[in-house]
Amino acid sequence: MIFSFYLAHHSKNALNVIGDGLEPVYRGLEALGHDVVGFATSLLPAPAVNVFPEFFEDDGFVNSLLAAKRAQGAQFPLGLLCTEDLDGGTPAVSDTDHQRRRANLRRLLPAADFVWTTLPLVDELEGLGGAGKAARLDYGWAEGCVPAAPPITQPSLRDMDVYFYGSDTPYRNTVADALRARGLAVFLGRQEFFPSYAADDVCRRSKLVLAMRADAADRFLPPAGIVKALHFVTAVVAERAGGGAFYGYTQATDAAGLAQLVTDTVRGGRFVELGLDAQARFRAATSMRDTLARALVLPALKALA
Amino acid sequence: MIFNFYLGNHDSSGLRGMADLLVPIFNGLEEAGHNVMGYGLGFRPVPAVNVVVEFFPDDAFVASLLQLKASSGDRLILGLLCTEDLEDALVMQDPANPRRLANLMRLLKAVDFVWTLLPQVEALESICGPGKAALLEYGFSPRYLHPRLRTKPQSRTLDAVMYGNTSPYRQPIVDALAARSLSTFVTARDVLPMFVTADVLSRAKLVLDVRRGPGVRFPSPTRIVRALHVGVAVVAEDLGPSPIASLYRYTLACPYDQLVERSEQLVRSGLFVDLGLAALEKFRAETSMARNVAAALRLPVFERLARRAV
Repeated sequence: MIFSFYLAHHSKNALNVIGDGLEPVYRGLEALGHDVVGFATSLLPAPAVNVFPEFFEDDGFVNSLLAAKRAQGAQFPLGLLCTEDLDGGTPAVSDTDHQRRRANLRRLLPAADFVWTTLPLVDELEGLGGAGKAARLDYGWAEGCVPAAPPITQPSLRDMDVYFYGSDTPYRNTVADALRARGLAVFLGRQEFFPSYAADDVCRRSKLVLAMRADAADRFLPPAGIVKALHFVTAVVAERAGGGAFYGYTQATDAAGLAQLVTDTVRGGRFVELGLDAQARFRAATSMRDTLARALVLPALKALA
Repeated sequence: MIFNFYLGNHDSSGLRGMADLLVPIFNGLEEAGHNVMGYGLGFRPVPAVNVVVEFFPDDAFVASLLQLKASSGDRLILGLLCTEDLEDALVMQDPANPRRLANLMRLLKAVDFVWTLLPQVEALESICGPGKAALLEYGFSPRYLHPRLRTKPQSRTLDAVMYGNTSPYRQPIVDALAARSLSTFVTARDVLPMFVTADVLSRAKLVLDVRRGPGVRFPSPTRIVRALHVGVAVVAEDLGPSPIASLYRYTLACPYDQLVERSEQLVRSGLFVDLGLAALEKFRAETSMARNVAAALRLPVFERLARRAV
């Protein structure tokens, strides 16, 4: 099958952010033998499958999608990829900067043929879009996501203490400030600013990646940063929150304990070993290919196949 | 050696636009056995080598850099990577950055070395001093090779990619191709991330390498080399002889007024995949980024550093 990912409704900053979440999906589909159009320049007719990563703040864009779906029906296979919590804090679908985002997602869900979600939201999405439409995409190992440059295994060349994954938020800054107060060098990922070659470089050179929710109101820990670190052989310290399929590959604690756990991990000196061990276990136990195979058994996709 | 690239003088758009310029250099240095800090968060003392990519619109930044070098002397190895033609008025006399050229001139006199992607070693050494400048040519890098080359013609769904931002000089080519029913995707280098450009390039029948405007004297090594590593045929505007014109050997080069015709011929011939992959193989066989980086390290400052390490 051909999976065509349409991303033109994302801003240039957002495009910079979503790569870490999208590439494992692309590579998993390719590992199954499918063809992936990673940046579609047009909508494709069936049997190609059009996938829209969620971010629908523009009423006009959504209206045009709904009109196209009404007009073309099964000739326009339409899928959504939801990576954010429907009811989370900031920055999520309820973000006050994007008032129409959630409403538009709710308009699109009933019209979509299927929905993939990287968070445990299948029941909620099926409640809005219809039964048998949603599948969970649990991230797993994807050989195609391994960086071309080999991992840095000499501890002295891991010159950055902490790569703080994700955008800059007050909730995260509290921990970043605490780490700096302890004398640790912290790099705030700010993916909307740093291109991937810079972020990848810092990730590779860091003693650990710190993965935290963006806000205390968020229900789930975003998985993309953890999955990226695992492919880069960089140890992960994670905030223990909901949606914890990956905690077995991290050092995890609640928000209040993060500064101490990060400090202990950096100063303990075993960060390279931790990264290597976590990657080996992740590689052995998970597979993005298998994840996508499970996600393709939805009725709409089986019909297309 | 450890090479620490300091990019803090570039804004977000500038950083995005430099991906295909910097990544081959990072790869080449590591493939030659060196360590690279691709996004350095500060300057590092010797034996690390600090490299700053040219773009100096800000007097205060340059003043602080000059002061740092003056106070550190040989304890701070400072180099510049110059990517633009000193005589390119479109860039160096851009009214938006009126201090760019003047600040570059100030820095050139203070740095330990200069790498240039364009053939202007003599011009640079006339400012920074003899034995300080080297041409850094691009070559094949195994790490830069696209891991999923598209070898089936039907998977090349885009007729042409105009690699680089749109400009009044490039737009007539895009329009003329459209008039011949050929679709052209124009990349915006400061907008699209690498995973997007990699996807778009890999699905192209050909990549157009056309200069921004008529004042540009040299081909773009970064555009040509990125396309070659993705296995895509390059139709290049032939800007005539120059020390880096050897890159045309891996392209279908022709004058500006033949670009449309040549592109259409290539698309209609159906040979675009074969030609793209053949160019890649030739480039792989004849060039090496690691070797080219090693050549750029044959400057006295690096020889002193190497002796010191021994």
